[in-house]
Amino acid sequence: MARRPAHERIKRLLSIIPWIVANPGEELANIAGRFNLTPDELLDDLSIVYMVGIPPYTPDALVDVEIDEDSCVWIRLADYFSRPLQLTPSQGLALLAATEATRELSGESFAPALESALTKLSKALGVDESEVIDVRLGEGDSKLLAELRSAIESNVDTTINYYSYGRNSNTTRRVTPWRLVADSGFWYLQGWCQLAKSERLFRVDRIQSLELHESSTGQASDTDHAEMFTAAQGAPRVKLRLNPSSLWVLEAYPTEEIERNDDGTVDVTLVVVAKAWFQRLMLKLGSEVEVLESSGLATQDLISEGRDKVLERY
Amino acid sequence: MSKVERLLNLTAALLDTQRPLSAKELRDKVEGYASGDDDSFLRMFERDKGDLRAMGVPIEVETSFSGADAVEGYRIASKDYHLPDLNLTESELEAINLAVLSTKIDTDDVAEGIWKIGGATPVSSRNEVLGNISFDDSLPTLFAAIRDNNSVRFSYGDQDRIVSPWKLDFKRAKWYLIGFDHTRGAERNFRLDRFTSAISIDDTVEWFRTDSEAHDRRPWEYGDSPELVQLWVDQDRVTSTASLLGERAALSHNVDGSALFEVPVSSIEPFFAMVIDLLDAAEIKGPPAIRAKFVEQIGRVGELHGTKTSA
Repeated sequence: MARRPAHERIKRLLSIIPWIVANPGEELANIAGRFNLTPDELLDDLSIVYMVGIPPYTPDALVDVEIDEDSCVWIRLADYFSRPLQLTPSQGLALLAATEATRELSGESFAPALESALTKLSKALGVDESEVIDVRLGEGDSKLLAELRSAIESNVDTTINYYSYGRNSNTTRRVTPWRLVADSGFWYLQGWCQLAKSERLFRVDRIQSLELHESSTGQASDTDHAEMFTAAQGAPRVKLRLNPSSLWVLEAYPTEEIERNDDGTVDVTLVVVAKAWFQRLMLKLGSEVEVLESSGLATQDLISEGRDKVLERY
Repeated sequence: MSKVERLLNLTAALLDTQRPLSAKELRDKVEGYASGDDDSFLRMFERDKGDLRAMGVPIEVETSFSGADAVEGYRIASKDYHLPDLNLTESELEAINLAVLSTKIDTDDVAEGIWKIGGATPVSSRNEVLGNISFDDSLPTLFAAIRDNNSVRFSYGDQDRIVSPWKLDFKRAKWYLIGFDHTRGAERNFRLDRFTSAISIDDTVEWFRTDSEAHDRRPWEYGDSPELVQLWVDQDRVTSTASLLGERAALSHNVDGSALFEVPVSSIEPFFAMVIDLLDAAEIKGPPAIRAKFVEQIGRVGELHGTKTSA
């Protein structure tokens, strides 16, 4: 058996003892599973507990641990250990944040339990959950998220009207939805796109409208989502010199190379994922940027085109 | 005797006692301390106290006088130690377990929190990770300050701030603190990754909270005296723009499916950035001065990069 650090064992025991007191006669293996231990590890820990007590350590002052022939466990006479230790602010916040985060996606079967769990948890922590914390894994309309979630759960296709930011155009596609996943503050729908005949990620906040079908015709999920977020290898690069007032660009987009100059300007290489994306960036930066280099991109034409497009209506 | 046994005995004795116990009494009474000389006992006792406190065990120290000698006594108050019963049902506990499994929250504390509220339940539903929640070092201190209505002091960028905090927000993959900034005399949001010092409790100001609904302010809503700007939006972009602009922007639909928004704008540059994102799907209709400023600003962009403005 691997040696476990004393403080780990103590912290766990301070929770296990009150649990057994409150749930007399539970099987050893079930208790061990609940507290992420093997049955042997738990047995080892309990063998210490029955020697613990208060002065003068006579039999009546010791914790009484009983394990019967069916491996069911009882603990008695442990008033001082009858409740677990208070949650630390860090533990309380972690539980509250995780629970609050899944609220928007909990699905109908889980929602009532999740809501009442949140209420009880915040009461124990001495806060009003709705007042003190708000956790959003991603941007996206909650009604749309709920509909997508139900399409995934009932395994039916969707038809979405999707706005492609990079191309600045809308398309209607039939998509077999696989899963919803949040990345860097946005919700994405991952699924099989019948228009592209391959798997695709769609940002939920760019889905303009959604329709649910009766059945599913697309391919089933077979990949991990992680690889879908990696940048295209062959995409053009552009090297920009940013004035100090436009350094927000470094936080807002994935960057490749960053060089800081003595005058406070920063030279940065960005992957140009799409034409319209580059045009918007340059229009926002205005005079706070200089294009130093670009590969495979007529930057000046693109900038003029973007400017004319915006001004077309005026 | 094992360290586990000795520390459990010490905790039990300190919880059970009606009055503070001195180090000497603990040495005499608690099993595990009897052997060794005075110095080695004191070192061991200090280490044990430190270990227990690091686990969150609230050991109190009280000084009493016996004759002319001050004696330090120790105890654990039951009300500070014992977690009240949450009365969670098994399905509520399962909901919390599922939440913890499906959001990767970046701290070990979450597992220990689960033990305290009843342990891991077998989770029946699919448990795919939905997303990540980062965990900044300053979060526990700020959470405790919010709970206790304490004001806090910290450095933000290169400035010192005194803030009465009331809310933590996680959005766009970052944590924000919302509170009343006494230094500025107004409500402010602070990004936790921009704190440049540790946080300390400040008792020089009264805890204060403004009664505002501005928790979810848009970038163009920061500042004073908002001006109403009329923004026309193409039908394909009405849904997403409405959710982007928020409830404070009044919306009227046109018969062709397009829409006109009335947006309260206090800060013009972030507003222009949002309009640029819409490219040719939007048009600022008024007021004339703001429309003219936008046209002028965009029109200049081509010149800066050495191209001619088209007629």
